[in-house]
Amino acid sequence: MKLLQPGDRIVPFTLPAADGKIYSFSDLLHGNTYLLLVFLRHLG
Amino acid sequence: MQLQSAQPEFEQNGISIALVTFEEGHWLDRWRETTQIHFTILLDPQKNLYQAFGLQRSIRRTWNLPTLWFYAQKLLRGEKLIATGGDLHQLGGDFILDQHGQIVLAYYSHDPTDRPQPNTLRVKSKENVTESGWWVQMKMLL
Repeated sequence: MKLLQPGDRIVPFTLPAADGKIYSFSDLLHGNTYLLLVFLRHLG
Repeated sequence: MQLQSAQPEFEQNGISIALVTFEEGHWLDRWRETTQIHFTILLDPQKNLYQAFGLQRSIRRTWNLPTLWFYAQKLLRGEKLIATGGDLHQLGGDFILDQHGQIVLAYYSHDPTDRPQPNTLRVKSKENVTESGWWVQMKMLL
């Protein structure tokens, strides 16, 4: 599995969210310049 | 989650925040109620995005000493450990992307207890380097 590094570019994605909406990458930016994506582990 | 208290600082630096989880249903709802998190939470039950970002599963790293100590401390505080049915061995991570989808920062958690520490996670914004050469330091407590 390839680990991403600064400079790599991701493939645009679309995912459903807990609020029932569907978000694309650009939606998540909310007009900002950057997006911090926090991948959670197990919630227990 | 201390990240929530730092959100205004992130916003000031032009950074939106979204969480990604593979958990669903009751446990996710309960976690949201408990934490009062109001970030966008993306649902990735098949872990396609986890895999696209190269986030690994590891039994050995999940059950290492720091993780066992983390859970022992929870039990000593009287907290309950919850079996959500989600993948216990999936590791997390933190990524900052620019508006073109280019990775600015990639942080892969070594184990479930490993998250960026305060004042240690620095993001070198391309714009800042180009225009002024200064670093954007973000005080992140994840």
